[in-house]
This record gives sequence, structure tokens and C-alpha cells, in this order.
Amino acid sequence: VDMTKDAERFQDVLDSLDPHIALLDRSGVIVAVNAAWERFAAKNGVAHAHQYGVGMNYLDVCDVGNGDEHARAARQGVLDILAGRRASFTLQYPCHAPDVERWYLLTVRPLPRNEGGAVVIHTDVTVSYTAQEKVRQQERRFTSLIEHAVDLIMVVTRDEVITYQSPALQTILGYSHEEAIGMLLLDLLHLDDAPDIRAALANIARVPYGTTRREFRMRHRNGSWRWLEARFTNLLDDPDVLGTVVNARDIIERKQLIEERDHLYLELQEEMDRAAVVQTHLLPTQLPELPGYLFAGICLPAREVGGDFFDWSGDADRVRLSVGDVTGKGMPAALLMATTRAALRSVSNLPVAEAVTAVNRALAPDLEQSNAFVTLFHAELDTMGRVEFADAGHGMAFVLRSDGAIQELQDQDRGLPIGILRRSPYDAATLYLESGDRLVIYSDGLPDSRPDLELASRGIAEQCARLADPDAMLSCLVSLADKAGKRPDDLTIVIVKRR
Amino acid sequence: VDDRVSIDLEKRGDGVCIVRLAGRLDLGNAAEVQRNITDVIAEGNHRLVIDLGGVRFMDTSGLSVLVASLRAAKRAGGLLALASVSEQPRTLFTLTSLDSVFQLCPTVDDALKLVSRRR
Repeated sequence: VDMTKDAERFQDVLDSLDPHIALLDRSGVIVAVNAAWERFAAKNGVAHAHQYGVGMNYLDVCDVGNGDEHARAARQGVLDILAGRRASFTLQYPCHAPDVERWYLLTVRPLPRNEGGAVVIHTDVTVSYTAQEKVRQQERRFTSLIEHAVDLIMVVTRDEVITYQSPALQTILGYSHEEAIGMLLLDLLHLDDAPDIRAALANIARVPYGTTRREFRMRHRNGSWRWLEARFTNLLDDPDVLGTVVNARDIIERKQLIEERDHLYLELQEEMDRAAVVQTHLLPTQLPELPGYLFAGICLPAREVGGDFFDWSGDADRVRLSVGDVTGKGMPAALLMATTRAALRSVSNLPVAEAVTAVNRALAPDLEQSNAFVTLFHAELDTMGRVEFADAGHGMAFVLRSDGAIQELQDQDRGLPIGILRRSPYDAATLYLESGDRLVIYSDGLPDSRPDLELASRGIAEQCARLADPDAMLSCLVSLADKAGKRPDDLTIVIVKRR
Repeated sequence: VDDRVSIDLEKRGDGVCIVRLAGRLDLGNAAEVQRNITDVIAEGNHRLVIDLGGVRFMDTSGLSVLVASLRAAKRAGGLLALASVSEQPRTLFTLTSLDSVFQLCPTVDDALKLVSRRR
């Protein structure tokens, strides 16, 4: 009776358990199943291995498993347990119903007492399996993101040991995963950059989540150096990371572009400097030697080269002098300036009005094409103080008499700038310089540099009238213009004084 | 220093257009102003009034824009008049003698009458 009671109690215990449980004898024959086993069998028919009941051999049951790998493994596991070759066998396997995915854990344990045998337990692990699978999926996703990123991601410990490196290490620096294991960050850093990077690491190590950005060189496997830009983030205290995360990317292209740009700029600058030297040589280097006169002249381009010029030439009897201003500034103006000067030189034997007329006729088509014009003051002085001049739209000239009086040059004598009208006529006018009189010719760079002063002839004369020496007057006017800072336009001043 | 220029176009039909410029007209923005005026002429506005009333400062580059515009208008068989030229630009016109090339009108209305007349 007791035996029966124990057996019944034993069955009750088995039936109370959720997993599907079967007991096998030594040969694998099912000697008992629990209620869960039977319920499952009833519900799912005979499609599954453990739906067979008491009296059947579980090993045969496994053979029915359509030769699938789980059934084979299960059969081998049960065999091993029954033969005493192992103490426990577990296997997780899918057992999907048409409408729902199910996962089971098969556990086989030996029954060591009495005549032996085994207990087979199928536990529904769908819930935990799905949760785990979700975590694994997410992990795979993030790993994939990191592993396929162009950026290099590394984790560096406090001791500067690299504990993680993304595959970009191979594409950027050429090292395989195996080669990188246990590498020190220091092994890869350029000697010149190492102190700075180590200091930066030490710095952010003091602040949790501290971060810093650096550009530095790392050694490629082939021995060359690669420029990287990296953000370092302190996750040393994050138990999941335990290191400083380095997000680095190759900036060699950017570096090369910057280098190329600097190089091009330098080349351009050198060329501009050479052009400036050439243009300087187009300006007079010596003063005319006309008895009874003092001369001073200067031309200061706003950039390396400019559109202003002055020129003078002559002999002991007469001197021709000119001041020209091409619209615009910089290289385009400089090209036209050189052309204008050359054209003017080629007709320097002509009387002033004819010379200007000839230059205008020669240059007007080109200037019109360039949307530019030239204002030109062209004069000839003789030893007697007679100044014959032609003014092509320049206008910025006056005579400062020895007594301080100012004589502006008459408007009606002025023609159009060079380049406006091909057939424009130019007339000569005459003025006389007495002893102490000064003729001042300038370009718009002078008034335009000081819009605050609204400089016209009178204002300019007042600035320098007290000075007797043309050189001193010139310096005075240049420093007046330069007080405004950066020169907005080319600046030219020519001063002639009759002794 | 504010070195901007503002360009305002008022197309009044029949090929007449008022171009209002204000601010600085110099090397820094000459190309921009030129482009605008060239486009307006290309659209068939051959009778232009350029209102310089708001131009405080003009340099010779600005002047060359006006010269180019005058040429373009004439090539297209049209007319160009300047209106309300303030003091600094007027000095520049006088110095360069270019006041003899342009029609300088005291007001925009005067300029409009000038460019609208039938030849």
C-alpha cells in the first residue's frame, strides 16, 4: 500500500510540473510520463518525438525526427546517458507550431539508482530564448555598425593598452586583428605627437565622460605615417567599457588639400611678388635733371601690383611727365597700366595733346573690351617755367603758388578719360610756374583713402603748403593717406617745384 | 565701413526701367551692379534711368559701370539718364569730364521724361 501511495504521490509531483517529463528504463523504453507530456501529445498529435507514450522506446521516437540534426543529437545524448558516458545532456531546439515560434530545452539526466534509466525533460524556454535572441540581435546590429564603420574605434585602458579595435584599423593602419591584440597606443603614435596625446588622455582621465579632440599621426603597418583626427572619451569608470574610447578618422585627404592649397597660394604669392618687382621697374628710378626744378614722385599700389603709374623722361631742356590711373586695381589694372605706359612712351616725341590723342586712339578698343578707362595727366616742362599739359579726365592736379594761393586747372581744358571715345579730341593747356611754385598731381587713392577729410585740391594743399621741399610734401601726403590703415586704392603723387 | 550697395529695379513697361542704387558703388561691387544692369538691358529694357540719389560714394570702378551701361543701352538702341547725383559722385563726373558724356538730371521724373521721349 505504501508503495502504491508513494508511486501515486510521485506521479502527482510529476504531473504538477510544467515541463514535459518522461522516465526511461535502461533500454530507453518510456516507463512513465507526466500530465504535461500527455497534454502536449494530445494537443500536437504525433508529429513530435516526445508525443509518444508509455511503452514506446524513446530512441525509436528520436529516429522519427525526420533525420533532423536536433533529433540525431537528442538520440545520441540519450544513448550516452543510458550508457553512463555522461552525467547530463542538454539541447535547445526549435519546436515551432504553425502560428507561433517555440523553443524547448531538452534535459536528459541519468537515474542512477536501482535498475538505472534516464529522465527526459522538455522545458518551454520560448520566453527567455526570445529575450536572449533580441539582445543578441541588438548586439549583432551594433557590432556590425562598429565593424563596418569607416571610423576607427578603439578602447584604451588606463595603462594605454588597446583592448578593443574596430576592423577599420586594418583599412586605416593596415594591422590585422591578431596583430593589434595587446598593442600599446604608444606603439602607434608618432614620437612628436605622443606627449600631447598622453597628456590629453591623462587630462580627461580625471573627469568621467571627459572628452577631447586631437589631430595626430599614427604609424601604418607599412611604416608610413597617417594623419588622424580623433575624439577621446573617458569611459574608464563605465563597467561595460573600462577604457577611453577613441573615435578616429583618416584626415590625410584634408591634410593634403590644405597642403596643396598652401602650396598654390605660396606659388601665386611668389608670382605676384615677381610681378610687383617687374612693375616697380616700370616706374622711374631716377629724378629728372631739369635745371631749376625739384621733382618728387611715388606710386604705391594697394595690392602687390596696381593700375596707377607715373613716368617722366627728358633732357636738359625739357621734361615730359605723366600720371595715369587705370580703373580697378590689382592684376587686371596692372596689365592695362603697363600697356598705357608703353603706348605713351612710344609717342613721347609728340606734343602733349597729340600724344594723348594717339594713345587714346590706340588703346580705346582694348579698354572698351575690358570695361576700363584710364585717366591721364600728361605734361611737358621747359626750363623757363612753361608747363604745357593735356588732361584726359584726370583732373587731380593743382598749382600751389609760392604765396600759398591755389590755382586749380581749368575744367574746359580737360578731355575724356582714355578709352571712353575712340575719336575724342584732346587739347593742350598752358600754365607757368614761378620760383617757389609747386605743381601737384595725384590719383584718387589720396582723397579716397580719407573720405573723412573730403579732400579736394584745397584740402590737400593745406596739408602740405608749409613744407618747402617736394620730398617732404610727398611724405606728408603719403602718411596722411596711410593713417586710415589699409590702402583702399593705388596711390600716386608727383610734385614739381620750380626753385 | 559699410561697403554694401543696394540695387532696386523698377520696370515700368515700354522698355523703361528705373535702377535705384544706394550705398557705395566701388570696385568691391562694380561687377554685381554691372551684371544687374546688363541683365535688365538684355530683357529689353533699353530706356534706363539710374537713380544715384542714395549713392554716398562712388569710385572710378563705379564710374566704369555707368560707362559700360551707357554703351550697352546705346548699342541696344536705347537711352540712359542719371538722376539725383549727389556731391561726391558729381565731383568725380566733373574731374573726369564724364559729365559731358552722361545726361545728368536733377530728379528721377526729369530723367524719365528724357528717356521716354520718342525719337
